[in-house]
Amino acid sequence: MKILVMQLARFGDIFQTWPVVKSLKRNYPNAELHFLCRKTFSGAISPVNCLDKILQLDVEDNINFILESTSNEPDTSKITNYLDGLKDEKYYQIINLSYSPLSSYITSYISDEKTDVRGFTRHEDGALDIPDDPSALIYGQLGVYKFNRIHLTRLFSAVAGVDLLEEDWGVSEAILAEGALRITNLPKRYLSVHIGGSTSEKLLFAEQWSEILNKLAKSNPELSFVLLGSSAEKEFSNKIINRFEKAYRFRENAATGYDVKDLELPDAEDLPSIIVSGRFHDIYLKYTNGEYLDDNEKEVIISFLSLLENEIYRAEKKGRFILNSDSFDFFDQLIPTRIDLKHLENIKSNKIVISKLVEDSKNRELKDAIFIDDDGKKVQDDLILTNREVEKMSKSKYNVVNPDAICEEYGADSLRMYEMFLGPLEQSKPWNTAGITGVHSFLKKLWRLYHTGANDEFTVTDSPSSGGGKGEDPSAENLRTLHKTIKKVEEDIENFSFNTSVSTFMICVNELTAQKCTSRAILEPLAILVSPYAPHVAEELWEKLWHSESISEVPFPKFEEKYLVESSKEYPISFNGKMRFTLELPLDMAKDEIESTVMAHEKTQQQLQGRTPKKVIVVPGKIVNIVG
Amino acid sequence: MKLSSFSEKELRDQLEKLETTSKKILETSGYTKEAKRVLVLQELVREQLTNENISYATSKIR
Repeated sequence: MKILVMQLARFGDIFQTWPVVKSLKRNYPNAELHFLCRKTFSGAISPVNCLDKILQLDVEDNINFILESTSNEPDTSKITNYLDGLKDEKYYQIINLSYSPLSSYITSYISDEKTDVRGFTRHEDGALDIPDDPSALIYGQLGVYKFNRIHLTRLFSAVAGVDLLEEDWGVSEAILAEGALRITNLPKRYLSVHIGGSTSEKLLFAEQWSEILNKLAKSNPELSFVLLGSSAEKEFSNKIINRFEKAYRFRENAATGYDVKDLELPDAEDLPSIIVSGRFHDIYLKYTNGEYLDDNEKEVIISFLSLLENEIYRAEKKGRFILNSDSFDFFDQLIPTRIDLKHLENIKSNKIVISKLVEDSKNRELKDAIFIDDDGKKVQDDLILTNREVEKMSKSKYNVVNPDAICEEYGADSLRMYEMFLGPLEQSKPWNTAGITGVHSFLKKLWRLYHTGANDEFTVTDSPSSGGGKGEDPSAENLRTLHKTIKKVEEDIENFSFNTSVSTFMICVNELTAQKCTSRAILEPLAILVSPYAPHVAEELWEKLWHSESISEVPFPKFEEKYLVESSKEYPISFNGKMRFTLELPLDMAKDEIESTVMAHEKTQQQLQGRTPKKVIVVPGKIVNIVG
Repeated sequence: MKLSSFSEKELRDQLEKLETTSKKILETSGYTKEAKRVLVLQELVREQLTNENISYATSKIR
């Protein structure tokens, strides 16, 4: 049985493939394990001694061959030989761990219907095939400035279908003994940091690296670091280390005790002599808060937004919008274009009001478009018939909604909260912006709760019991509303039931508004509760509440059961079965006391008009009925 | 001849040639083996033109 692991990316990704390769060999000891990478980077995998064959894709050689060809048609003979050679290996399994059009085309070429393909490949029509969720996650976190990353090695192992053990992450004693790494005393546990990067966006300056290392060191006193880079980056790594040590001593005023090594990677041509593997962590992950991310298993819920939408088709390069694809074969390519339901003639109609669509649209291309009917003639009236479809939001379907317009109109908090409000996270949900105004209004109402003064001035009163303010202490009602909200939101967050949290906020704000609550003791915790859902609004309110630190750094409010215990009951008082008024009485009041209090009440006397009732029925905690 | 000695124009011309060929095959015969071969070459050339020139081990920018 032959297994091919394909990794056509660069150093960083190849390093991250090491543990997966080791795990594959452990899981399939009798399988012949091959590894395909670019020739330039093949040295990065060479110290992994469990591979049976390292196959190299010589990019330069192939390109030179076709560039030197004088033929008018591209000469594919060289690449054909190479690809056919790979195909002849008849791999039982091909694991493509790189995302690139190139790797998916190669996977598609060298596999057949019997091959167990994992990772990116191509459909029968050549469209990109992302066959599993881990690959979709790799696709989703491509690029820079994406902080919610999942450790790439973990994703690679999920694509390959293997588990990783502690031993898979480290460098084996055998490799160290071979001397190929030019180092013999690696720390027992360390974080390896690849300081290289292929583009300027992926690079950090020495100051930034040293800051990251400092933060990591502070939160993990036992942690050592190993820096990886090419020989060209040797000087750069020294800079990082110098800054790191200085900064740390300055901050802690103590000896570092940290083991910082810099290991040198030679240039591409010299690579077979060295590589270090350790625990590879995407350093960007925690750059924002400086915490060291151990291999916490975090639950990932993938939520799809689907579209109930009407669509027209955009003819690429022609700037024309047409009814459907059947009638128009003269356009280059027809791309369905999403039309918001609000532009329909009415919600049941499939006709779109063109003037409304054009007026609302921020798409310049749409503004200049010519609308054509089924017969290829320009639409004369203002209505155009469209198709309606329900489908997942996906780049390949050209139906992804650009959130910028929504953010501009309603704000990012409204969008964020509305996405949460759409329905249970794990279920597919139709995307319909018609409801976003509701959430937007709620946020405005939340804002108004804190701005009840003259001319909508910010007004929050401090409780006398909490520091001598002139306001009133929060009422039992206020506290009940707050704590039932804390309880519900806490449970909802645990269960990823964010939509019900938003409903709870709406109920809470309605109740507090009705209660005319201005107490800091209530409004401060409420801002914290809301902050994960509407961070910008919450942060603004937090600043107005005279806090200098960010709301994201304060602890979550603590739920206290005692505030939810009802101490009184609003009894309905009925006469001969008909409720006439209500009376609030303590819940622990005895039956006799309830009867005497009700009978003594002036409204009871008014109802009885001097009569003596035949019977008084008292059900404690429920009802009082006076008969006769 | 080393890859680096080719100009960007030569690479672009070659890419255009490959794109025309692959498009023609896809339109006439579909996603065949020949189409796949041309698409592999096409991507190999395209990679040299983007920001991420794969022929360098690490970025020269810092």
